[in-house]
Order: sequence, then structure tokens, then C-alpha cells
Amino acid sequence: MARAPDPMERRAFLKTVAAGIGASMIAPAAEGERRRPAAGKRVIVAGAGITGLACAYELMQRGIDVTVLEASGRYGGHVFTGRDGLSDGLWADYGADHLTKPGYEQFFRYVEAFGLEAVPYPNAEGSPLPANNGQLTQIGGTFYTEAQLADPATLKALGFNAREVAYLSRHPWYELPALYLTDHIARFHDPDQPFGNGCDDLDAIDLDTLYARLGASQRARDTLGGRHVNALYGVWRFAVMKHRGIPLSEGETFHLKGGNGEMPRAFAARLGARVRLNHPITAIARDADGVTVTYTAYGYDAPQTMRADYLVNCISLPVFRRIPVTPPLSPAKQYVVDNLTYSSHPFFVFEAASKFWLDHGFANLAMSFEHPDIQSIWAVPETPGATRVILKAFGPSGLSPQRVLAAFREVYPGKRDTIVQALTHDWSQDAFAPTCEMEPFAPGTLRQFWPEIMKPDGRLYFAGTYADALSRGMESCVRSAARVAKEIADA
Amino acid sequence: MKPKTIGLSFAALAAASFAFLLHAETPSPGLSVDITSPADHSRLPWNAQAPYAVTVAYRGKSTRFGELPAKDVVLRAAFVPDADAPAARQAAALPEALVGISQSNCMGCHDFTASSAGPSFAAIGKRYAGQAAAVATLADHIRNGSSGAWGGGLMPPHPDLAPAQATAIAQWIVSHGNDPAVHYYVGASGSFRMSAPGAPGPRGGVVLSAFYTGPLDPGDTRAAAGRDTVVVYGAGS
Repeated sequence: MARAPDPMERRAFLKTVAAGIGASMIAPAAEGERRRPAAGKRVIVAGAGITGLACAYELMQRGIDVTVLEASGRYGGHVFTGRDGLSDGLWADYGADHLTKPGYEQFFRYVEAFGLEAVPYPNAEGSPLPANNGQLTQIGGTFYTEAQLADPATLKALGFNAREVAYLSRHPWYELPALYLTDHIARFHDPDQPFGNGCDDLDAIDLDTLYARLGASQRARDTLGGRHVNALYGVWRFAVMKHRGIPLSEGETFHLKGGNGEMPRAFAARLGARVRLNHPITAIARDADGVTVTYTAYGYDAPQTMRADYLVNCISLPVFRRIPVTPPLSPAKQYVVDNLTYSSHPFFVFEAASKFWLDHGFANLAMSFEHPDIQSIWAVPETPGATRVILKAFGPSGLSPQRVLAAFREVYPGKRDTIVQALTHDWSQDAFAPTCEMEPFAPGTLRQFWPEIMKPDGRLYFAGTYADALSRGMESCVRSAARVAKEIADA
Repeated sequence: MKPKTIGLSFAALAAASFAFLLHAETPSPGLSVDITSPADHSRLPWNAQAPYAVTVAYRGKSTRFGELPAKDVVLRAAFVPDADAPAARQAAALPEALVGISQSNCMGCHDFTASSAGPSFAAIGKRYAGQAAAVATLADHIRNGSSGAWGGGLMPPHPDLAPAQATAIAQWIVSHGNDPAVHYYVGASGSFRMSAPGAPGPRGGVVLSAFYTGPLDPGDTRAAAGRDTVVVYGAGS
């Protein structure tokens, strides 16, 4: 699974909700509108993942009385930095892996406002390194350097057609979508929404079919990976990226010093007692004037209730739908809740005693493999003061880290490594944060999702990685959080 | 038929009383499963989603204190046309497939009737309904992993499931995964839906049965003491 070069699967992201968003927040509503003052409102935020914390923070900044109810015993959700089992004070992000520039504009506002530090993290999740910096890709059992992958003879032998060979000898592989989709992308005069840009008919087919129609070789289609991806969604996504200045490389990659968990921690520190951990919501009732939430406090059986003017659901939808909502959601919203598909995958974390690959003639440990138990591996920037290094690998969910390490040792083209520890966090066993990002919509379904996916249902609002025009990692989380906070403040 | 039913009821009653007495003295070491919510004979509107809570105790350990994992509890909600009929309370045993599903990591990516990271069991059951050969294919996908059948996602391999368990799960998905009358939920607490296939009659209801799927000591069975079956009447239609 060559995740890195596939922009549909990469995480990261964007420009801000409204041009007027300030370093720490959202633009106030226009004066003179008749509405309830923001300061008098009361809001319950469901879920203390990055979205819920960001949303609660934005609401708090507006003087709104907010409480966050989190079902698990920690905040952060799928943003999780782990230290257990690692030496030298090393840490690893088991969930959200990196930030990008450009693409994480709202997120970086918080980085600055909270005095956090973003550290360059090249090759994060296999993202492109600067040209010819040691990246190796296994195809048909053979490892290729970037230079080899730009060689017309190699490209031809791999099965690319003449047009693709000419293009890929001058462009990196991650730019291949541009060879076929530039005209379609250029049609998007309004990237804020998918329909009405002269491409509506693409809703019916998948991106792979579009590439085939446009003359792509089977080899290119395998590389581009558009099967099951709604073609209109795929093209729209590229259009939004272009509009927001995000290159096909997905930009430069970073992570937070001390781990990406520093961001939820910074939000939580400011929210204080407003965040209640181990307080799972068991039922939501709503009426014209507000919402009543039933929840339990840790270790107490008796249900308690809390009343508010609004509820923002920041729980991922497969977990949210276990909570009864009365009266039920509208059929359109229920469709979204029941049918949105997510990705979920683990990272496998290895601790090595040294940068062993340097002794084996590799400038970088940046490799993708064809082994079923390991798809790629990359090195994480050193932690200051540590002599040991962290490596991260992609492998299937449910496998033991030792099995993934054994697979690495089978396919690694160098000599003996110095790995001394292998760990993972199995998200598929996590009761409250099992999912990562949304998967692309399936062909023929975009009208059922858009724009419903962005809308509130009565006094129930929705924020999360899916609730933005460009679902792209933590940025779409904080963007949707800020958007919803503003909508509630202005309501 | 009738004397047998009465006999069974007496036996169940006696077992329940015995368990209660034991509990009053020292905690029963055997398996006890209690649906604490909703109340027996309560009434809920059709199609409503309602919370449930189950407490399981076994060999001195309880889900209440995290000594037994919450995911070792499975709730079945089965539509019955006549909720007062004695047969309604005679819960069938839990299919072995549900033990495998709840004990492995299936629920991390699959739900019974809705999408999450993977397709719902209902959607898989619908696609392969009536295809006997599909069982072997699905069992192979469960054991060895697969990709490309549903979307861009990857089904990981499950070496933790024995071939017979994988086949039982595949068989259940193909034959019962899309059954509109019976729904399953995993977890000691959560919510269930008052679902009826078609229009329910005035006597219709949903029978909730809770099961423990965790490992058992040699000689023990999944038959449990306690209030492991409750009847909820449907309201409206």
C-alpha cells in the first residue's frame, strides 16, 4: 500500500474557516443582529478529542459556558503520544502523525498562541523527501531509487504509456494526478462545494474509471489508486488543495516537539475543569429550546443530566451512533451518521540503538515494501539528548509489533539492524477512538453526504475531520471546530 | 409441550433463587448476567434507540469494576410478534460466531448494520446472501486479510481466529448478518433500537438477551444466572 504518494489518503491540512480568523480565534459576528448574546449561551461538547477540545476552547473564548463530556479516561482521542516502553525519554505519536506547511494554517495559529514548537519531520508517513535523498520503493521485488524511477527505460519497463513516461521523467510520481486531471481541476471556480462546477456527472463513477477514460495505463491507475473513490470528490479535493496552495507533495511536514499530544494538552490546560473525563454520554434528548444530555460520572451508576442550549458532537460517527438521540435525527443526517466510512490503521513503532542504515550505505531509512505485513518504514527526527532513534512503520491492524518487525527484517535490503523494541497501539481495540480519518465517498453517494455532512440537525451541531470541505488530518478537525463555534456564537 | 415449558420455568426460577441466595451469602463463583436497563416489561416506541446496561459477574470478577472486559458482553435484540407468549422469553443460545466477533477485534472496524472503517455485517450478508461458496471466501478474507472488495480500506489478517471460528463467523454473516428481526450489540452498555421487520402488531415487542463471551473455566457453560432476558413492548407502529 503505497500510502505516501497517494494524495487521497494522506493526512494533513488548510486555509482557515473565514479569512478573518485571528491567531487565537474566530471573527465576531456582525453587530446589530438580533440574537442571544454569546456570553449567555450554554453548550455541551461531546468528546474531548482534538475537535472537541478546539471547539470548547473557541466557545470559551467567546464567553460561552461550555462543558466537555469525554467517555474515556484521557483526552486527545486519536491524537496520542506514547512514552511507555521507550528509553531515553523517547516518545512516539500512535495516532495523528504530522502537520504540513502549507495546509495547517488554523492549527499553526494555536501552535503560536500556545507557545508550542513545530519541529521539521521530513518523510513523515512516507511523504516525499527532497529530491534524490535516499527514498527507496520496492516494485516487483526490486528496490528503486528516485532517479531510477525517473528513468524512461525503467518507466517503460514498469508499464507506463509513452505520455506517462515523458511526464514522469520530468516530474516526481506524486504529481502524476496532474497529468490527467488538470483540466477538470481548472473547472472548479467555487471550491467551497463540489456541485455546480461543471463536473457533476463525475459523481456516478470512480476516479479509476476517470483515469482510464483519460487514457491512463493500468500501471498508472495502480499507482494513482482511484478505485472506489468518487471521481467528483477526488477532483474536488485536488481543486480545494490547489485553491489553498497545497502542492501535490502535500507540503513540508512537521510534528510538535514532545509529540502531537502537546496540542490536546494545551487546549485541556486552558479548559481546566470544563473537561470531564470518564463521563460517557448515554442519551441525548432535544427540543426546540435546547438539549438534555444524560451521562454517568466515573464509577457511579446513577445517570445524571445536564441541560444546554446546544450540543456539539465531536465524537466520531461510528461511536456517536451508539448514543440514543430523541427525537431521532433527520433521515438525511442519519444517512450520514450510518454511512460515512472511516480509515483506521495502526503505526508500528521501533526503537533502534543507532542509525544502523547509515552503516549499510543508505542516506535515509525511507522505504516502501510489498510485504503483506509491512508497507513502509521511515525514521522520526531525533529527540534532543537521546542517542536512540524512533522508526515508524505501516502494517495491518491487529498484527503484533514483533510480527511486523520480523517482516521488516525479511525485506530490509541492508545488513543487521539495531532495533531493540517494537510497540504499537491497536486502535481497533479502542472503544472510544477507533477511527482515524474519513475514507473518500463511494461513487454515486456524494449528493447524500454533501452538504448534509456540514449541517446541524436542530440544536445538534457536528464537528470532526469529516465536517470540512477538505478532510485532511487535524487541520480539518480544528477548522470544523472553529466553524461550528462561530455558528453557535452567531446563532 | 406445555408441561415441558412449565418444567423449564420452574428450573429457571429455582436456579435464579438459588443464585440470589448464594449472592446474599458470598458472591456466586458461577456466571451471572443481569440486564440492569431497560426494565423488564417496559415500553418503548418502535424505531426508538434506547440505552441498555448489562452487568456480568463470573468467578468473583465483574464488568462493574473492569475485571471483565466490557466487550465480553453481547446483547441480542430480537423482534417477537407476541411479547407475552411464553416462547418469547426462551432465548436461543448465542451463535458461536458472536463469541468470535466480540473476542477478536472485528468491532473496531465493523458494525452490525452501519458503516465504520469496514462495511457492516448486514451489507456483507446482503451482498453474499444465498451464495454458499461465499462462506469459504469470506472465511479466507477473515483469516488472511483482503483488500479491494468494498473500498480503499484494508481488511487485516486474523491469525487469532481458528479456521473453524472464521468459518462460523462467515457462515453467520452470510445467513444471518442481514436478518431484520435480530440485532446484536457488543459492550456492557450502549444502545439498541426497537426494530421490527415490517409493521409490528399490537402485541409485538423486542426480547433482549445478554451473554458473556469471555473465556470460561473448564466445565462451565454460557448459561447464566440472573436477569439475562427482558421483554420490551413496542409502542405505536
